[in-house]
Amino acid sequence: MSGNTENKISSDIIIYAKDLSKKFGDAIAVNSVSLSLAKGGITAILGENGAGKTTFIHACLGLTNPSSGTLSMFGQPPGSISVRRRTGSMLQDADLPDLLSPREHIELFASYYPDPLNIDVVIGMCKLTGFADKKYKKLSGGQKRRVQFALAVIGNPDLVFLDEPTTGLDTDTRKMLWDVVRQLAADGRTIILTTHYLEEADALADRIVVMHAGKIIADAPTPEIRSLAGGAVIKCVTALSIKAISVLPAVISVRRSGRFVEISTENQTSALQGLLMEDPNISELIVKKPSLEEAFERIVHDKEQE
Amino acid sequence: MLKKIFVITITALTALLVFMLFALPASEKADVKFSENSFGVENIRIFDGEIILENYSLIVKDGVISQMGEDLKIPKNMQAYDGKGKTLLPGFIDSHTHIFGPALKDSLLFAVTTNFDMFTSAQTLTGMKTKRSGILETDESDLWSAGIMATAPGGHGTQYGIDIETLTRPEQASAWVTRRLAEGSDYIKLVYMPDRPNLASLDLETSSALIKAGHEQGVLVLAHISTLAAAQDMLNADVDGLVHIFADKPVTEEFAAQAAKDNVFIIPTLAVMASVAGENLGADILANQLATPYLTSAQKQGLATGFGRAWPGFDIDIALENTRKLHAAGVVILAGSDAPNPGTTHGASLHQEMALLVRAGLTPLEALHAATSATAAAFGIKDRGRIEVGMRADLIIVSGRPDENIAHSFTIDKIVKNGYVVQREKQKPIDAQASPELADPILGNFDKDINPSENLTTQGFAWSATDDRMANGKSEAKISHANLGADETGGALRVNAQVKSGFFFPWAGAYFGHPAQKAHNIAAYNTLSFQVRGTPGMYTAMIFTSGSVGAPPSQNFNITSDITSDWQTITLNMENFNGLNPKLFAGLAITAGPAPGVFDYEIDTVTLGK
Amino acid sequence: MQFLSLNAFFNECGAEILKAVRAPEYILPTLVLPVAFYALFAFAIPNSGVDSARYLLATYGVFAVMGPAIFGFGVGVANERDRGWLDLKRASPAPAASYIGAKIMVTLIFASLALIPIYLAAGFGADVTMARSAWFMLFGLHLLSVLPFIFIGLALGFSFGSNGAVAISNIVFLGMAALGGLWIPAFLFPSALQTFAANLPSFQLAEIALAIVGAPSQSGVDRMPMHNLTIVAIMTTILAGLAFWAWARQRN
Repeated sequence: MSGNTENKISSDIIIYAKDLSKKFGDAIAVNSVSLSLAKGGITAILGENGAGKTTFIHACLGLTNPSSGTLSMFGQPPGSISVRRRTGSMLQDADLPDLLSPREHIELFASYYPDPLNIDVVIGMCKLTGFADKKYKKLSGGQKRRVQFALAVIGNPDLVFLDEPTTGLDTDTRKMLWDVVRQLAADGRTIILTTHYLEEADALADRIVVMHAGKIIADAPTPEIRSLAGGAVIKCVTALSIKAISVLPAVISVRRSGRFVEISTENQTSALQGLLMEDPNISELIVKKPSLEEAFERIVHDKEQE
Repeated sequence: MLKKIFVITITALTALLVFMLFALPASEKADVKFSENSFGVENIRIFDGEIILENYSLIVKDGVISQMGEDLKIPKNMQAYDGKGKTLLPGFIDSHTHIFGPALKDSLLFAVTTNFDMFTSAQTLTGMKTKRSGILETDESDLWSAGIMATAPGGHGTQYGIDIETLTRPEQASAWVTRRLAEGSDYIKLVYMPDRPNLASLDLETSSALIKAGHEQGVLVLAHISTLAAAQDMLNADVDGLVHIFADKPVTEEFAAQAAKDNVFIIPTLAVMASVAGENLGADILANQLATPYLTSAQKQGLATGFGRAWPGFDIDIALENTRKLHAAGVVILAGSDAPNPGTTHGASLHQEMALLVRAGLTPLEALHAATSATAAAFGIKDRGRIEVGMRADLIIVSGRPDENIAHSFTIDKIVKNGYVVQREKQKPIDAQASPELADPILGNFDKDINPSENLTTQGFAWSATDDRMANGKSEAKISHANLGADETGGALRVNAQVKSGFFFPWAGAYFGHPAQKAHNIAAYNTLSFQVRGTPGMYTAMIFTSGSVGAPPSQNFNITSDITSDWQTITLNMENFNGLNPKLFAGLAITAGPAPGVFDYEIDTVTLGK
Repeated sequence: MQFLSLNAFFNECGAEILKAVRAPEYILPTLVLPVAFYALFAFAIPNSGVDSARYLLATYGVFAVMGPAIFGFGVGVANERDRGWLDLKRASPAPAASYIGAKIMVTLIFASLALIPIYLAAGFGADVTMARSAWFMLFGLHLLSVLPFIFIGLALGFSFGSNGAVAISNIVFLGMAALGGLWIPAFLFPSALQTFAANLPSFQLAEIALAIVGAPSQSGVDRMPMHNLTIVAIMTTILAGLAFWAWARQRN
């Protein structure tokens, strides 16, 4: 029976999307996305605002129906009760009713799950102590985000969606949240977070999925994404002209920066060899690996070139 | 915590609700209260005004028939009657009565829930329209009326002492009708009797003008006639209905065909025709054990009196035959009693009228139709006369089957007016009313003066003059003491009477009576005798009883001598005072009349004998 | 699993009660206004006997439950949908039925709280007397009367933003009350308006309530409460369909 195969998949494949698209009228929010996500780890979906991250998450949560393509969660249709029981989520624009306290909100959500975490433990873990019994509307923005985060984890879920969890948070709160996320991942949960902070993806994620204009343009472990830029930047003082440098092997671009030149290269070894051959007197040589941000910009740049 | 909040809230609230619902004031009755004029009847035969519906149920709500059907559920808490074996009919409508005194009460007790009056004083109409359009509890039947009728000066209708506006010329007709309608008349009744010798009548032109004026002003016009020729005139003048069946000649086929074609209805009033013809049908009602217990003593007296003799030109057989023929030709026949003419009474006589219609050849069902829906339809009344949803709950339940045997109309089980059950109790038996014996059988010997003996004076009796001015007549009487009596030892009572037309039965004479009309027992006596002399002519002796209304029991006698000649002794048998209840004796009148003239006479030794 | 749903439902109910109780500015008018109106018309206006107090109990009871139902659902759902709360709920394993069920339960609780003072005013203030069974039937009917208005509220809540929902709910609430003959008997309306009134669930429910208290029919034709009940059932089904349609439409 075909169900057997699917069950096998479900044991390790948590999200399986194939050619998934979602249109709102004429606008395409998610465009033929294919993605397979195995159990465990922290995956960051990286992209600018409007890249289709939230729509993709909403589809995974069953909040919106795909226009076409396949999507299954734990081998089940998204939104089915067994999936929801294993999932916790923190949505980007979800505000809670004003008149209940954090503790009451958490208590209510705990009652939805078959095996929730201890309420006081979660309150401690999410650093809600001190305002757990205040009315929600009296809390600060950061406190509210922490309460929403607590709701995502109270159910002891296997899979946690965090849609832009740290937007607008101060650095301390962000760091605190990162710690908790790492702790959850360490407990064997699968975490999916969307963010437009590269720093956040860099700091937390094992795997980064880059979305741009509704499409996945890159999907790889974090170091790999970082090295997608491949080469390096060679910075030095030389007598060679810009023109002479640009014809050397593996050189992508050259620019002058004060008394220095900066040479972008696909292959630092070949470029250095060529450079030294032409001008053995180069001085103040620095070879720099690119940042994730530079990598991301490059990936997007390349995509737009195509 | 959240759960606890809910559980506590819901428990407390439920307890509060249950407590409240049990604490709220509950009525005794098991369910919703229906108004007093709401009830249901199950398993009953219904005569709906046209046909018989077997095994029907009916619901009356707030005085109106609200539901009918074969499988009808009477609401649990509604007063319900089992109609098994009984028949339900619309309340009867008497299409010809004259209303005064307790007529509306009396007729309701015999299931007549609506009366169509054919001549009464304008004051009687006060409030009748408001009353008949409401649905209130009442002990009276509803009334439609012609008010005063149109007649010529000295014509039929002028003799009753009611002040009526007569007319003689066609030009007067329109204004006359307008004034009647302003007084509240629902329709116009005119008297057209041009062929009766001693009675003035409207002429054909004036009658025709009245009919035209009535139609122009939107009301029906009915004509009282007594001959075929007069009926034919009225038919040609476009009359809407004829009152009384002519009994002078058999009806012609042409007449019947024309009446049917013009949709003219006829109210034959056979009961009063029979009475005029000398048939004492009132006695039948008095002998009917289903009727007598519910008749007042005044009604009994009315039924016992007749017109005194058979009047020429009233042949009951012709009347019956004419009715039969007209009915067979398709003319609408309505049941009307013409009560309270002598020999008839309100209510009970309509039942007799239905029986007479059956005698004339109608089926019992047709007779019932004539006393219910046919009358309502003829007069354009839409809220009664039928058993139908939306109709006013004027209805009766009888234990017999009057549609099969018309005599069963008397088997009244329940009378309902405006949805309220009418209290119908047997009148108190007369024997139960203990009245004192009259103290002295000698009512007057007038030896010293005109006062009766001391014993009678103590009881309150006295002699006085009496005449029809008390009934708006014009006769006059004076009494005085005459020195020379019949026994030549004492005096006598002298009466100077002038009998004048102006009341139907004019009188003037002497009266022996109790001022408060208190009842006294004279049952021990069989005769009334007195000595008399005076102007020759017809005289009348009348005996009045306590509480009586209408024409009293009377006997005529003649004086053949004159005032100076010998005394005559008149002895009248008490039995011949038709309808007299001797235990209720309240007075005695010895009067001149009814023929007009000047009468001087003397009376002496008025004595009750054994 | 059964226990789980029930547990969630009870918690949901508790949360809804707290939310309502902590917003007295909303809940008080819906509890106080009906009894104030009832008292005004049943006592203060002269010439109103025990009978009119009984008939008014029938119609004002329907009026009393309309407020919690239309506003609780119309405004409440619109507000929670607006702030994304409903999305979070739908993403969570909270059974959809428990959210709606809890709102219905709380509506019934507040409908009862609105009815209690009216019933007490009628029974102990205006000396209205009815059979015990009639009291129970009337109360049961008044409670069940929330159903069509809940669906109206749901349809509004799913169709309008929170500001729009407040405005529309007010219009619907007042319209249903006035045109349904809950304030002034419908038989006093001009005939065109009477015909219109017959299309409102408030009118049909009031007719059933009037039949229970035994108010005489004004048209001469008997009251037919089963007939009214059938109409209400059909209306409620249609409104439920409308609410479902509004829900499905806003989902995508």
